[in-house]
Amino acid sequence: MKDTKRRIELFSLYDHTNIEKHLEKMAAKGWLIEEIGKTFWRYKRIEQQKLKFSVVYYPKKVNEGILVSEDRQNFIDMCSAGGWDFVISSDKMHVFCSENENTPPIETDALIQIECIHKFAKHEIIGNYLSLALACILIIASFGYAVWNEPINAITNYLYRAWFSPFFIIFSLYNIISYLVWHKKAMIAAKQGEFSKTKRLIKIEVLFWVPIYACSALLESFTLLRARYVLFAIGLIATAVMLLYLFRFIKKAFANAKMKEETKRIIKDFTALFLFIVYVAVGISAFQIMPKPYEKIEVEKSYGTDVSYVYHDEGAPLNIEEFIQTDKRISKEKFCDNAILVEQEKWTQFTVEEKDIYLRYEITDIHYTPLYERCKNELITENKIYDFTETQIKGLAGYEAYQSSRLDSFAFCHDGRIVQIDFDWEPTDEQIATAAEKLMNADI
Amino acid sequence: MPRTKFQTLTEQMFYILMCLKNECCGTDIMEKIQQITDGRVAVGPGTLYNLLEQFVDEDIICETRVEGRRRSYILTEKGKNILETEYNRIRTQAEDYRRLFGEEEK
Repeated sequence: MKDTKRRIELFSLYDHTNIEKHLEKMAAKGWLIEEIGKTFWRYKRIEQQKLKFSVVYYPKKVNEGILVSEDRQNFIDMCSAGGWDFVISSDKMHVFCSENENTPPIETDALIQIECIHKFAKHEIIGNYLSLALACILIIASFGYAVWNEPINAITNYLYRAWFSPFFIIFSLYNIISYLVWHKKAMIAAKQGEFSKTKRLIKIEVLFWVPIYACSALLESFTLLRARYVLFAIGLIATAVMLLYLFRFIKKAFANAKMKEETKRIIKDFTALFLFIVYVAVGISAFQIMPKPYEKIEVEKSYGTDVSYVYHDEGAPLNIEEFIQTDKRISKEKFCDNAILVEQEKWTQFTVEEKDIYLRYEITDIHYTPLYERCKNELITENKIYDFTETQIKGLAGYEAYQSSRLDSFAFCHDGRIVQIDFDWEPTDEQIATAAEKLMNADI
Repeated sequence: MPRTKFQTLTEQMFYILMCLKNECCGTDIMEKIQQITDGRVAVGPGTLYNLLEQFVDEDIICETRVEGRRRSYILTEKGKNILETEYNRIRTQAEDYRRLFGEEEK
């Protein structure tokens, strides 16, 4: 029989009223708190019993030197003399229990209780959440700075890391304000000698956490991968939810069955293991079945290591064969950066064996007009590597055209789209015009 | 803790200080208060512990002995004055009450 168990508990640590109630329920089910972590709490098995709990906040730190721990022990001794058995400490929070329902409370002065909670909360609630909010503000500020200077790089690479920052700021402020409002009311009540119950914030916390994790995962998939992987991720999440419901259903079905607790536990564990294996198998199978957008071209050893290139069978908007006659195998690598405001598709094409003919191009679509000029600056005007200057291409009209002073590279922009092409040879005006027309009108 | 806090004492503070007329340790204080007030006033261990700390910080009481983890305290001169001031305040209140209601009863 399992003697310990861990649970995710989302209590605010100052929420002594609900923590006490929760611990009483757990004791009635035969579990006594053994360790309080940030999210996971560990319980040890005890006989099912009715225990009364008291959560108190002793503002001196516990783990700092012998004197302090002696001080804490002195505190525990006094509580013990008052009929309370020490259960556990977590930093400045201490949990006591009593078998006697009529044991006088540990705190008999409401004002002193509030003062102790406030000393604890100043660090644990206000301090921590303010730090979180400030960190998020810094993330947003640095993201804003990056968007201003290198909008494409910032949006395609860092958006998924920054987007949830406002939610964390709201979440932090919500916790701080909720605590301060409670503290103000509790102080008024305490001055009248009344004790105040704390309010549980868990449901709203869950409302914050679940979508943040889910959306982060999805947004990351969108940003880094392509749509088929997003569908794969959604499929996996949906399967996980279905299997969890199935597990709950089976667990409930056996909960009321007339059989030994040990047998029920074994069935529960085996069901969990079986469903987990099913989940992994479904995931692996789906990944195998999922059509791959490319085939790998294996190449002989190069400097002692195997090198493999890929051939994307998704139609490239422009192919090297349109300019050069060749029988050699060609590697066509595609890389996508799809963010909410900016989409980018990059292609690199070259002959596999000799790698002597290259064609590279990237198509960038900016869906948010105010960013267009900034993106143009990043890719063209302020691009020091290519050093583009405006030019005219014979037979090409309607687009702004730029030519690099150093390489056979050209850039074109018009109506929210920016295209950059690198040729590995000196192209004719006709070739440039053909490439520009195709890429400026390509679907990505 | 602001000094003004102890200008008037709560009932629990008053009884704790009263118990410390003679040297006494924390656990004994809780029992003594129960005895003196016949169970009417109970001071919880958390409240007592915090108040003892605050009283020591304010020189209202001082630590006299430490035997293992058992600490004993006694009232200081300042503590005696505070207790006496509080007693006088309560007595004045009682006299005012008696003067008013006592005369009415007559």
